[in-house]
Amino acid sequence: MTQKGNTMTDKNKPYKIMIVEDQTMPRHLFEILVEHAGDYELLYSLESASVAHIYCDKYPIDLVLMDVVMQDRSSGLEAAERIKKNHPEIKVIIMTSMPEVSFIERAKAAGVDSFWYKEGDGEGILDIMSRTMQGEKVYPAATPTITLGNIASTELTPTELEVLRELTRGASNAEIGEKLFISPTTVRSHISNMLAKTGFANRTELAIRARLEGLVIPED
Amino acid sequence: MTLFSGLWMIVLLFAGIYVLIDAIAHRHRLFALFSVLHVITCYLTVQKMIDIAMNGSLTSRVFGPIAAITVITAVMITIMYIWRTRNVSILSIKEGIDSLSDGLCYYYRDGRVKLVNPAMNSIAKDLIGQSVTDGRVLQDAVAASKDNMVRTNDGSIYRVIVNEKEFLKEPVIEIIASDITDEYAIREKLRERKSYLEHQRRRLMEVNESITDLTIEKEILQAKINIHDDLGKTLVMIRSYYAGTTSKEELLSVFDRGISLMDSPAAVKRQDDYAAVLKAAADVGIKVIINGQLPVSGDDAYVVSAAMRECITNTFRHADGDELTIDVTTNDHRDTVVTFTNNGKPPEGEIKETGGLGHLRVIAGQRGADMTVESSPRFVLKLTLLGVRRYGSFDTKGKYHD
Repeated sequence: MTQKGNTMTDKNKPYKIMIVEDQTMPRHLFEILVEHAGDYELLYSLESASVAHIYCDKYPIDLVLMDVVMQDRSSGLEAAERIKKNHPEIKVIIMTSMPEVSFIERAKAAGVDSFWYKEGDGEGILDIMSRTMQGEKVYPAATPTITLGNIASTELTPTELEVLRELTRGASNAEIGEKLFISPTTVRSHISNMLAKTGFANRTELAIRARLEGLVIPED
Repeated sequence: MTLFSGLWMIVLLFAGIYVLIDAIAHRHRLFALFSVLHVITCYLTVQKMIDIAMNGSLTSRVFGPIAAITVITAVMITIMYIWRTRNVSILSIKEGIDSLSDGLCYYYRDGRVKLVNPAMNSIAKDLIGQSVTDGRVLQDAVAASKDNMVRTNDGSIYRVIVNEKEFLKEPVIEIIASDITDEYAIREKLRERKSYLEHQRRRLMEVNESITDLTIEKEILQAKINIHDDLGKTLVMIRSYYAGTTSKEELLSVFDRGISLMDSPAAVKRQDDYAAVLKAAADVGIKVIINGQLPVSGDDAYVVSAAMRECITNTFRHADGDELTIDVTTNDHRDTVVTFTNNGKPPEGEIKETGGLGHLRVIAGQRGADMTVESSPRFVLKLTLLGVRRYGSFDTKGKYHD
């Protein structure tokens, strides 16, 4: 965790940035990008989303760059939602490398200002930061499409994706049905449909591939 | 007329012989008696009718009664046959028992066998090497089997049940061996399938745990690629500088960034839950005093760290304080009690558990912890963690000591 500063002219005070990224190398990369961008002052750089709101409560932060999936299991989306609820004036940009289909919708529901996929180059984030601070909400048109077996991820229905998300937790059909308020028979039917579409041999292979690709991530 | 009567008598004769043979085969004594009488009278009647036909006269004092008896026995046999097919007799019960594929055996306490069917004798031959002559020997063999299931040499599987009954006020032991070969095969397949699925499920949960690490590796790799690309751009800019198309300032700026990238700190080990919270407290100017041993891991540590975060925020945001005290004690029930207090001003009125405190109560409830909040005379948040715990301790820098 670091606190750094930058010099600016009196006319344009730099925007105060907080980075929330659990991995050292990517976090350092973002720190350097922010420092060299000129319009920004890096206030804090955190490794856990769980404490982000504490800094936002204490310091006049203008923009938070928030990763979604943290190694300590804290959720960037939950942290973003809390920050936006208590400090709607603070801009939040969600960053992720996961093509998890629900992230964009959950980010919008949480009031997140912008959303960026990390697979792009570093310059992309600077552009999004600039547009966000100008009041624009920048979201990708759609979740990145990934290949899952024989199909593109967009060929799975929303319900199938919900079932698949629970499946990756190792839940049984009964447990999935209870969570999603559908019968175990319906769950089995959805899984069978997904196996037929993707061409995977069994539900385990389907769940592992979906999880490896980051298509679905269990909420816990 | 005589010819017709003769033929009819011959038919009755052969029918009587058939019934006689059947009655002997099934040991139906009454049937056999009537059948014998019927056959004799039929024979005599036929013989007399032949004599009459040959001698041309139908009259005879003996012929009438014999013919009458023949007809009567025929009717009696028919009635008895109908009754037999529509009613269960002891012998028919025995017939049924003998034809069962399940084994049945009834014997007295001293081992004398009352009833045993062929199926049980067949099982006994595989189990004890001989037919059932002493029921106690069979029962002992069954008692030695696993889960009351016996397997015969032909691969059949029987579930054996032993009961005590009463027959004519005398205790009788009943042994029933039910053929469950097919059901057992299906059950075994289901058991293997369930075991396989459970194994796959555990593997999937393990994979899920490690996916996060894989994702982290993926992100690190991407960062390295970005750094590599940046260094590549630096080399291009050097050439461009020498070609006169790039200024010195631009080149130095790119150099500076490239050096910064190469100077990335080594990846540090993941911090535990308390380290991040304690550092945050230090950064926002809150001193955290810990008295006792905090839970090290699991649900308890999760709840306590969440409570620490809420109380840190509460201390500087609402109470204007700069010190948070955490006392860890054990109550009479060996529950761990974690109490949070601060040195700030007391709440103005009753605290409403909205936002962070409300969420904390949900977390505590989900993980089996009890939470109480006091507003007067000062703010106190108390977590009761059930059960026996073993703890290490954290210093204010977040370093763990066992």
